[in-house]
Amino acid sequence: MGASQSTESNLTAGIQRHLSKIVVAPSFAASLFFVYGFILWTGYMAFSKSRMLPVWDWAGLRQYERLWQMERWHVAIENLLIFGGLFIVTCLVIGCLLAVLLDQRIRAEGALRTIFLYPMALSFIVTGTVWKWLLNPGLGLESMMHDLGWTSFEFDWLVNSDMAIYTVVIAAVWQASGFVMAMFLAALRGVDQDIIRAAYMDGASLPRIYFGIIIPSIRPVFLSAIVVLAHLAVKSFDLVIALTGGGPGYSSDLPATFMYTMAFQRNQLGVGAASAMMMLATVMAIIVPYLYSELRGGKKNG
Amino acid sequence: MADIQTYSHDAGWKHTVLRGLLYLVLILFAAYYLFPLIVMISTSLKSLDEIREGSLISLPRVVTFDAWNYAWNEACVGVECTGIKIYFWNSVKMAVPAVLISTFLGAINGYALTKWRFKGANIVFALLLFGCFIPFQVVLLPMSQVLGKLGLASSTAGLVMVHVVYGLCFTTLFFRNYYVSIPDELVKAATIDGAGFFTIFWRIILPISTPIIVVSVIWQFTQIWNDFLFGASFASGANAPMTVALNNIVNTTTGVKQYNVDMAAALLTGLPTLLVYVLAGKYFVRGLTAGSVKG
Amino acid sequence: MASLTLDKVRKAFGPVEVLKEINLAIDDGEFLVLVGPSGCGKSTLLNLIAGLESSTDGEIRIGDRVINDVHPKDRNIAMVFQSYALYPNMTVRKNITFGLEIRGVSNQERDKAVADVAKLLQIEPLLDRKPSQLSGGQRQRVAMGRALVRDPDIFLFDEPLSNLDAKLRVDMRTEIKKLHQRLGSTIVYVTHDQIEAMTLASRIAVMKDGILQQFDTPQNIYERPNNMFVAGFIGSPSMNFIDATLVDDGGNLAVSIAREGTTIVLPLFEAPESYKAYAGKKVVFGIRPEALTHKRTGSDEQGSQYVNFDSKVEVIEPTGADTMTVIDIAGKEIVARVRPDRAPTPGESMTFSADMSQISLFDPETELRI
Ligand SMILES: Nc1ncnc2c1ncn2[C@@H]1O[C@H](COP(=O)(O)OP(=O)(O)OP(=O)(O)O)[C@@H](O)[C@H]1O
Ligand SMILES: [Mg+2]
Repeated sequence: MGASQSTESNLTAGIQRHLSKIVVAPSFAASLFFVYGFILWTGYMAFSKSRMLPVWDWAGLRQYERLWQMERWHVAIENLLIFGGLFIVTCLVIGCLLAVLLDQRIRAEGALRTIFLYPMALSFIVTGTVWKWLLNPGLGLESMMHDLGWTSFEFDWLVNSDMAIYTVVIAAVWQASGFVMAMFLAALRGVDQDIIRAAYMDGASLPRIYFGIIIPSIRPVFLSAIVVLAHLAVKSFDLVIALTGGGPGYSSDLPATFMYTMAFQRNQLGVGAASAMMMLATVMAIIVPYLYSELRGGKKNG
Repeated sequence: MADIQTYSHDAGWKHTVLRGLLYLVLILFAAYYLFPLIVMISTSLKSLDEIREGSLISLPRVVTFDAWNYAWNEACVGVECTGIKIYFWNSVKMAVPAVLISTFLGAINGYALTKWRFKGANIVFALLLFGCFIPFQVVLLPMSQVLGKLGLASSTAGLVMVHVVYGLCFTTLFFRNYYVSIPDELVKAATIDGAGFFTIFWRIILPISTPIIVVSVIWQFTQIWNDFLFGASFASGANAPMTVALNNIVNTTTGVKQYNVDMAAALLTGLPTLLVYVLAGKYFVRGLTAGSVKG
Repeated sequence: MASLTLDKVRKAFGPVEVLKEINLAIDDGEFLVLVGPSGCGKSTLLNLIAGLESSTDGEIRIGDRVINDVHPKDRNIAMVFQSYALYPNMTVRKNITFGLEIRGVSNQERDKAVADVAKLLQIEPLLDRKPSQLSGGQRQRVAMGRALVRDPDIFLFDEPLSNLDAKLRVDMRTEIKKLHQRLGSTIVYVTHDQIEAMTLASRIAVMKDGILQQFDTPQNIYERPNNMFVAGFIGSPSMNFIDATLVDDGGNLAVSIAREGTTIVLPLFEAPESYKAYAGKKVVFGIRPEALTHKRTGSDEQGSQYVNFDSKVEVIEPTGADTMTVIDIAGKEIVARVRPDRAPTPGESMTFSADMSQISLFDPETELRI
């Protein structure tokens, strides 16, 4: 014992304390570089004259002006609004409905849950491939209906430039609604059973209990689900590529595919960067307030 | 909700009808979700002629695995007609290291951020977390530049790096939230027992992390295997992952459209993640909700 | 074995000071109990001694060695936690030997040490189980085994019994006491249960808001509490406090309690010098329930000095051994402890005796003992 040991253990204690920082440092550095650094880089590109290759010449807001003058960008934004709105609402309705139905002491609940949720495990490319085949005007659902005797049935949305974006909604809802179901079901199971029993004792009917007590009490899950779905919608890329390729023409483009096309196929780096920044701004507008309230709420509870 | 029925007084026909309706609706929904999968399987087992003549829902009259065989061994991706198998292995070579590395880093980050908190640990975590939510379009351009500079363009190693970097935030989130609920006293007890940072991690923390490791591995595997954006952007040609190859097969406009091959290739692409889902559905759902809800 | 000294120890988390100038010293083999309400800094103090937190100021010594900068593992201490903190992935045997293994103790010695400890704590049949397969009491024993096996200079216990049910808690309390008597080790023990404190301690340190209120033997703390907080905290049911005036009753000091229309005057027989300064002033009269009982007379062999007064009974709460009788004095509920066979019925009036040899007087401003 004595001084020498104490300084030695002091040293190890010092290293131990720093180990924690040392261990996190690589990830943190990577995040600083690959997330924040890259955002800055893209942000700068959006203010530069870059076209085919990145250049550092300042162009002010020129790229943003060009972006907003492009018919195609307006189509993409409009599509995002249609797609996002329908996708979110439909997923919420189906997800909530399925969750409530599954919550009625259903015999094969496990199996049904598995079936409702499995599309979420698939790649959007796979989903797009299947639905492309199903919605194929010549051989898909249309011909199936004809065979079944409904000869006037027409379903050409996939190749109809006014309707193509709705096929993306159909496929996306098929893929993601089960996930919303899972979220709601978990929340329903978390509702205090005693409250429900008390309401039942008071003579409230089942629908009254659901609409009056249970659904209001899981309101935070609605918010979470909306945020997650909105986030998914803004990032949607693969599904459009696989299902419609953004077509016919560019009628089913979304901002994500627009950016990709500009940046990698049209040699419009500046415009691509500007559109990417617009996407980032949109996602941040949704996520930041949400995360802020979540983290603050978490602190209050914990 | 489960207990309500025990109190139910209005048994009798009304109740029976309602229950029947309930099951009917659920079964219809199940059919809706299963329909594409069944069509995919049945189409992949038909010959092209049968597809043209028959209906979407008719089961194959003659079951043939030719389409599967063709998709695996011969299908053309671009000009290369080597089948989807080499891209399957590309995906494996990309996913396995990326999953392992990002999970390990997430574990040690989560451990450091919760059990050896330093000043600013919360800020570091919040900054890391932010990466989960950015639309990746915003990093595509600089990433392709950097990969080019590093000589990793169009390589599997490059893709591994990309997936590790952008998967980190999720794995860190998983492990951090898990470790927050593990009592600090465990670490204190081990400290008094004389164990240090890494000893505690290896001997005590990691052995009790199995559930969250499973969640993280499944989540990362699904994400990376299913990724298309990074694959399409950074790995063209012979190093492309399977999703990119599938999209290529399906969208080639030359030659006769072989729907059965498309479906077989799609099934092959979806099979690994479906398998994981069937085997470990519980953890899959936990990852989904943890990754998307709790900040 | 070693003595422990804390010299002006302070601890702040950022701007918040949770420990303010704590001075404590115990000898080798003493059993120090830290008590106080939740959040008063007991665990923090224990963590400082263990080295899990570093103190902001002051000196901590084990024996003659200053240990402020010594790593926990080199302090030769062992700690038992409230949640037991057993390593869930290891068997009981592994749990107990982990510390020895880290220190490089040989396999043979480890086996022997485990065998000894397991025998002492009677956990031999449990050695190959995982913590999840143990009951609360068994976990508690294993946690103690993990501390004992190291044969440390000082044992630290942080509320080790608070997760056990009432019966088991009493049993384990006795066992800890026996263990201490047998091993003669130095122990610092945190609890917020004042009965645990009274039964186990050789000395008690009462804390509140990071300030040491009193540091003394259990008997002194009980009989001569430094202030109203300590008086109220130690003892169950707690001490009654009544607003009163100290009056000169014909050369003898007496406590006068105003009460609807009348006053109760309770003479003090052997008033200490310190009371004199308060003659004619307001004081807080503190009396424990057991000093307030059914009618007795004169003084008995213990030197008790009884004074009688009448009061109406509000509520009675039988506990078996005694019946707690609530009476109303000057708008305050006062608890008296009455033998069951003398228990009154509520609403009835009866004569009570106050044992004036067991009372405390406090300054109403400073709340300090007079
Ligand atoms: N790491 C920390 N950072 C900031 N404040 C802390 C920290 N640890 C403890 N505190 C605060 O210090 C005070 C004392 O905490 P401590 O855990 O020592 O209380 P305690 O007496 O053990 O209470 P209990 O009986 O509930 O265990 C509390 O107010 C607590 O909020
Ligand atoms: Mg405590």
